[in-house]
Amino acid sequence: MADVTLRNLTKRWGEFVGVNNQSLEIHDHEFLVLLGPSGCGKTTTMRMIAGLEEPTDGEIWIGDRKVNDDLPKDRDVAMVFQNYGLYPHMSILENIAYPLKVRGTPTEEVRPSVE
Amino acid sequence: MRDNTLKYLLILPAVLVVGATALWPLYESLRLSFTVGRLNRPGSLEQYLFWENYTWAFLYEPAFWNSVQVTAIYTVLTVGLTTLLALGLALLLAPGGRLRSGVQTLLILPFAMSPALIGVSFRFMFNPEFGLFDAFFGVMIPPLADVSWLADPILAFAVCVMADVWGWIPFLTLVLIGGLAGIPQETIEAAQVDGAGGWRVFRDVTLPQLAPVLAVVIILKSIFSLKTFDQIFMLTNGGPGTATQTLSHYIYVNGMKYGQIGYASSVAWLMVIPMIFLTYAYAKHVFRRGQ
Amino acid sequence: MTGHQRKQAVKAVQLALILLATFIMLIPILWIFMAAFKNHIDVFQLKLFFTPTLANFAEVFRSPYDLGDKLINSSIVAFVTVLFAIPIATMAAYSFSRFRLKGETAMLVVILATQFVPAVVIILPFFVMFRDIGLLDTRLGLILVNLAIVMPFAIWMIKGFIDGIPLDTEEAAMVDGSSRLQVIRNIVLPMAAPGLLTAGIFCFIIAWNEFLFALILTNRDAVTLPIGLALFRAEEGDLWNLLSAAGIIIMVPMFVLALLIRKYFVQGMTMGAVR
Repeated sequence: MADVTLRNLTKRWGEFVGVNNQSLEIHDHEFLVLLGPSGCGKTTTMRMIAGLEEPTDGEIWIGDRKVNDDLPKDRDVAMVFQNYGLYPHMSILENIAYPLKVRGTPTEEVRPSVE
Repeated sequence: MRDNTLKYLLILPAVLVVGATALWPLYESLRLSFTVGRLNRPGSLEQYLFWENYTWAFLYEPAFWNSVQVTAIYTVLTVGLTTLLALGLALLLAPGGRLRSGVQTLLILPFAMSPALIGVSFRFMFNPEFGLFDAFFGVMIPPLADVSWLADPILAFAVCVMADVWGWIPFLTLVLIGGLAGIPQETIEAAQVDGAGGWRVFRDVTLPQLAPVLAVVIILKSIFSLKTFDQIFMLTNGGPGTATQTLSHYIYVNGMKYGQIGYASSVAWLMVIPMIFLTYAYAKHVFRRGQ
Repeated sequence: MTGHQRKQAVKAVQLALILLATFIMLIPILWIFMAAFKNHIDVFQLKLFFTPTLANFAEVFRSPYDLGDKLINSSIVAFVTVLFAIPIATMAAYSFSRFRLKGETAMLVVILATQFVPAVVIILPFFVMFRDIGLLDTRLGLILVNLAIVMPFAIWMIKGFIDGIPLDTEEAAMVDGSSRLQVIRNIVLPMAAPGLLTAGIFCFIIAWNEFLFALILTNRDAVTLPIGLALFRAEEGDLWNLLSAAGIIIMVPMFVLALLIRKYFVQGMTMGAVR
């Protein structure tokens, strides 16, 4: 795992400010909970860390790499979605195996790893 | 009045209309296909020949096979091209936003043009002397100027395909946009986070979930392509020669121009065979969704 | 290239493609629009800038083209078709939606299937029959034929709308003492009105653009607009400027109607297989 650092992270849509100048340091192995009323920017912050939203301002560091410009696939994060985000057309095995498949794990290794 | 009686009364007018206007002609054309059926020979509509019309088509009529071939190639090309292009356009327009919504609305315009009008329009555009293509491409690609598009069998066929694809892209695109909208955004994002890049996400997550809608689109377009008449009639009228004579056009010419409605009916019923398969496949989709 | 630059590049390419596609989809329409307003000299000269004229529109209404007659025919045929189709379809649609009937699936399948029968299959018997009973070249004949085409669409579309109306209101009304017919008239019809209107417009468009039947079953008196187009093929060559003017007269009402019901197009054309 790695440290995750947010520096002055901001997300604006036009006039509306979703995340306002957040700075946060999360240490390796730390278990952190973001708590707050709806609409305060929890999900947006998480999505920016994952790379699903582009920050309007600020920096995101994972480990010793600034990942602002990295695509989600290159950031080596895992995410569980609010509505599960399961692939409906795949079996459970295939669902769990998908990230392995994408990284090019040889087929023989996939099944034992998943199980 | 009790519900039990009412419910059958309510459907009665519709049943009568559909029965008289659709079922009866179907029966009658089947019957005619077994007769001599010459329009100008009274009484021939009751002269029965059994399978002779059908065997005639298969054994002695190269024009029949020509129209089968034309229709088959035409269908494959138009379905394939339209689906691919519509899919691409749908992917471009799906994200939403003012520009994209505006374009989606504009797409209604070509869609509201009837096939006959599209045929006329393309016939005009490809006119070798004052058509748009001559002016446009003639300037950009000199060798293409002065090409008599509609006089060459292969080129005329190509123009027919182009016109068809152009006319149907809006509809297929709108359907596919609807299909794409039904795919939960989270599955896409999960795949992105799981490490898949653009193409992979499309192949592994988008496409499989789009498959049912894609199937509907392909089946529907195939049916429309097989039936095509209006546009061909106005664009090339089956020509040059019979290079663009689809089955529908062939039936029309034989039935109305030559007065051979017995024979024409038999060919029409041969045409129904692929329709049955396609309709069955389509019905499965329609009724499955109802569940 | 940074991730950000790459995103901008992708956006630019997408924008270019969208504009290109829009251009391609609109060109034939624009072409016809331009030609309709050109006089017959300019049309043959491919000028982009020209002085527009309304002469073509005036000319197509004069003889020998008499587009006015065709326009009247198309309007009457389409309107009367819808006038009969919608009520009949609505009754059937309500019954299919609210009740369980014997053989219901079979009936629905048949209705679906008639949509996919190529028109050429049933046109020939119609021709013979109309010839025998004198319905050739009549508006009434065309109306009957268009009813055949339009009815299945109408039933499916309206059934779709009625399916979407919650049962509660009807059941409450019946408990309160309304009869079934009263419920249909006072509750279902008002609520389904937008759907009925949409289906009506849809059917109008189909009847207006209908080609093959009009081609075969009319000759002089009952000729409709789309067939009227064929009149502009002269020996010297097609009269493009007049053709375009006629084309516009056919197209523009359809554009307006289509825009009105664009929300339901997909639903209607796919018979509810895609919402």
